Amino acid sequence: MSRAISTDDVMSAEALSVTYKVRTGFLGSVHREVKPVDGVSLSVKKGEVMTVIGESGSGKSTLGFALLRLVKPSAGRVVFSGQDIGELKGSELRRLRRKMQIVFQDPYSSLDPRLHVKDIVSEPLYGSGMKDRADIEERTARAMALVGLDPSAKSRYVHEFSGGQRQRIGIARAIVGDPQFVVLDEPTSNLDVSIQAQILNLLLDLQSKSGASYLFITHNMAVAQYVSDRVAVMYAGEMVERGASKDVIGDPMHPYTKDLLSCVPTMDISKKVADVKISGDPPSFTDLPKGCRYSNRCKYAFGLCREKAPALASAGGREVACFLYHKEEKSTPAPVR
Amino acid sequence: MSRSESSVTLSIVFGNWATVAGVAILVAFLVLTALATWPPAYHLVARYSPDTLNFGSANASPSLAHLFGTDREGRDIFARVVAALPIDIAIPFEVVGASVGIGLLLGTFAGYYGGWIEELVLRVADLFFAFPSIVLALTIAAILGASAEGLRVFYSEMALIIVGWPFYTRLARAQVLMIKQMPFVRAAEASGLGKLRIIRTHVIPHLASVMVVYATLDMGTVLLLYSVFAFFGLGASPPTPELGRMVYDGLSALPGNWWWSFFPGLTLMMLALGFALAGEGLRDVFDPRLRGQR
Repeated sequence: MSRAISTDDVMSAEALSVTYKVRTGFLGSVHREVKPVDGVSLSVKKGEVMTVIGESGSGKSTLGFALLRLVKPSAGRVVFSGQDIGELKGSELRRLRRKMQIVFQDPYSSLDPRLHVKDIVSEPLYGSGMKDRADIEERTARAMALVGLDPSAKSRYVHEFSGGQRQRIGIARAIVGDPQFVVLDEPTSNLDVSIQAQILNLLLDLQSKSGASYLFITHNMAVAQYVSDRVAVMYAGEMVERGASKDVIGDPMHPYTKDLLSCVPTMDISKKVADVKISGDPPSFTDLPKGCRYSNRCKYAFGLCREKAPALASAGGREVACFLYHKEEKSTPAPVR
Repeated sequence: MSRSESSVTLSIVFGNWATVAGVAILVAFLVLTALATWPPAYHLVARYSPDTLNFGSANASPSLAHLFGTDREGRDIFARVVAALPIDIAIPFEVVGASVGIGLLLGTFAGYYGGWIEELVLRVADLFFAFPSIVLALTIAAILGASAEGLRVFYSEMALIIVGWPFYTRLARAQVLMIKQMPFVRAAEASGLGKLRIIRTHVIPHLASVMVVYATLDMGTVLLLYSVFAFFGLGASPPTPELGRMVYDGLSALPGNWWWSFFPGLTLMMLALGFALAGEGLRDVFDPRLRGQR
């Protein structure tokens, strides 16, 4: 993964890892490390919507947090519009934050119930050190109008709003500082289906108007297909497949992506979804299988898969981390990770 | 607070008879105290001066002339109870106020910053937790106050604050650890707000409700603790009336002149009860589970 960071990348990460130390055993005597994000590289181009798909616990949200430096990466670097944000001092990073924003999954707990809507929405402006009250008020009002909130909402409390309206408040907060990059951490998974579509359309509309780049985190294939230009599939802290949305979702190559897509129920009642398409459970981060992390559940796994971890390499117009598609590696040693 | 929310709050407060009783008791005592401290109104409350000796009417049992009876020197016990209220009500406010202030400050920083600050604060708090608070406080007050009679009340308050702050520190820290994990705090970090500003706008307001509830519940305890101090002669110097001291002074007369101890004791109990009931009511108001029921 030594791809040079190109200038049209708004956000890119190289070999990014997040490590948590956990204590187990008697009186916490055993120290172990878990890596919910393990050596992930990715780049999001200007004006692009990239989706990260994965099951719960695959590390996709942690990846989003690490890109925004809401959790500290243990290794790797993150470059946002040409700046290595790991090298920034606290105050410099804070100033930059309104340009890299996030919409959270839960529209309830992510909005402080004790603040007025206008104080929630304007937070990134204050955070970036803006002082001009009139300017802040104007930008706040504009952001609220863009997400379809009534101007009268500004002096109300969030508990007076429905889930969908609350998520609009969360989105207004994210876009108020004209961000170049927004992480959307499952922004619709806590909403009613009828509201989900409204919110997704609102997000796509805002994205195309502003030309910002979105990193959309979801476990919902239909949502992923609907919103994204490119898709990255995460499994147990690693990326297993990445490419154009139509390729990865339309014609998945990695066995995990295939299995994941086959689990999606369809409206076609003649096609019954098999009861169990993926056998076994996702591996625990403290007890990962040797070699490919999917090898213990993969129906195509062969000897090499249990020995060495496949790297992400191009195949079939996308990148896949699977030995089925780069067979030459069967005879050569796997790349050192 | 919006209109709908405040009406919900009011309905929680007044929908519960215990809270109403607690608030009513406290308000009654506060009004009584205010009147008694304001000289022109004093005689509306009590007919006699708390310090006037009148041996002619000594040892009188409760009657219409002397509601709570009179003591050995003929002083009206009702007048003395009323005169004792300003001190006995002010002390819980001062002690709990200072304890909450210290606890809020130390606990919030310990919880939010973590690391060695947290370790230091918690270990010092543990040190104070290791001793039974009443014994520790009495010892501190006795040592400090032994030489300076005029400062005894102040030293007793200091002693109560010294044993009081560790609880609030731990409470605040525990709450901060919880609040710190809330997504809205993470959102504030993502917005670039500094730590102090996050503490001010997001953490403290969520702490405040819990702290107020526990502080109110604690008021009664401190009131009683201070009475214990006064009982043991660690309060104000005589002849300044104090409820705890009056209970002690009456002990020797039990069971004959029971009213010497009984009425000051009853007053203490009512005050403590008022704080406790009001505290319970506040807890209902601030309980998010009750707030959700709309």
